[in-house]
Amino acid sequence: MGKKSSIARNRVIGKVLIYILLILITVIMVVPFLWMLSASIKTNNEVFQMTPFQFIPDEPQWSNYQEIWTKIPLARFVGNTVYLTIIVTILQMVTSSFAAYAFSKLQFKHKNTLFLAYIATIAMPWQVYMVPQFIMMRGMGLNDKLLAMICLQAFSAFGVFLMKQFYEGIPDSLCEAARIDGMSEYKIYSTIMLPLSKPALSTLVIFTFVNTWNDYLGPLIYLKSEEKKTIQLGLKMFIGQYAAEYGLIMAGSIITLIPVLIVFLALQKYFVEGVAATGIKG
Amino acid sequence: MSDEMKARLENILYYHKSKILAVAGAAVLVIAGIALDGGSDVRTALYGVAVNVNLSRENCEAACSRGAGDIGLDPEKEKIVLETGLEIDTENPGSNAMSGTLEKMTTSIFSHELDFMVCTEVVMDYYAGLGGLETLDTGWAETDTLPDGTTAEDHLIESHDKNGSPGYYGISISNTLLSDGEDTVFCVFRNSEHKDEAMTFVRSLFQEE
Repeated sequence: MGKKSSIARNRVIGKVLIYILLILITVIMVVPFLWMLSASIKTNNEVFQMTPFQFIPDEPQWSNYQEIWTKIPLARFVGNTVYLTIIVTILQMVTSSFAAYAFSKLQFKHKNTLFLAYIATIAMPWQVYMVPQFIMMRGMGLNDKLLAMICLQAFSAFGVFLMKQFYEGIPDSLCEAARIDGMSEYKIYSTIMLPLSKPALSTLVIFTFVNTWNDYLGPLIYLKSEEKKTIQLGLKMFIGQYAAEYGLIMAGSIITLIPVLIVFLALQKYFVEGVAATGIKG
Repeated sequence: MSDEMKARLENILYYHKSKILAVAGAAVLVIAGIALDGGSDVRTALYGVAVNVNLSRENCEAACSRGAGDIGLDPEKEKIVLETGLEIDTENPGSNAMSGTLEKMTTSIFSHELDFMVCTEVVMDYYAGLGGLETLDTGWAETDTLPDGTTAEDHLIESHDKNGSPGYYGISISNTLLSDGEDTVFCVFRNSEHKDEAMTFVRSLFQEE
């Protein structure tokens, strides 16, 4: 009796500890976001005022949300970023799933060597080939063009890897049956494999969308005219050498967060499934 | 519309809805792409960056359009681009690489893309020390007097190259449009393919308002 109750007590204590740990981690994750939300309606002086800290200031600066649209051409930056993100996400979905299908379901010479060579590019930091790649793009007349960013990001070794992992789990017999029925490889890919790979595609969409939306270094290097800049470069315009307009930066950050949040919430169900199926962790 | 035609349209919409949507979506993206990235292709004739200097957008535009006029650029086809908002911690450039400015500068310099730089003396010293800047005492000093009546030679600023040898690598532009009130320097990169245009541009900054 005494042993049983001590086991039950230990279990309760264990659970309480786990909950405390989880709450602590949640607080660590949520506090910066709440601080950002609070700072977005404060003046520059109020942002770092800690004693007393006011989550909602006496006079909330809702005008910050208006000012960001007039102080810099934010609408143009948002337009450029939305365009870039949509195109890159669609292209990566198409190219990655197409290549992954070939690597997992077709037989051709040196398939594994090719796949390994492609995957090995993940290990190479961008900084290593940044300069020659820029010179190449410049030679193609793509300097200061959104098209340069599209060409750079349309293909992803990580995307191919993720999709291949998922396709490996689909039985080959399904494709073989379709081939016997007279389906072409393109037809098998588009009518059988693609509809089955919704979870993996959703995972890829989230990764690509967030990466492209938040990309800073790529646009910084390739885009120089103001009318071509993306939202991340636009937010940097609020930071000067001697001062930064934190209220406006935080208001801008909240605005930029909304599309990512929508995409994540919309695909959350598939995302968890996709992560579980491909064994990829975010 | 005849019943047969209506039925045919309904049939197409029912069986090919996704294809129609895909084509319409692609068309929207292409049109958006042309609007955002296409249009008149104005070539960048001269490209510069402002590093560690705060410049207003109005002043930059005014200086660039005046410079473009002096160089003789066709505003419909060519322009001067001066990118602002770049910062380098010259005391500790390694840690600053995270913010991207150094990557951008390095890529632009090595690809012969970057022509000039508006910066502080410390930044000039940093790039002169790396051997990235062009000496300006020849071409520039030959200009006896500037449009504002001052002597060209008086504006030259000395720095040292990677071997420690002194040379004039900068031109003081502190009282011009491209200055935030602090001591501001104009430098030309050694890799630039438009050095003459850069010198004409800096000369245009000294015009009386």
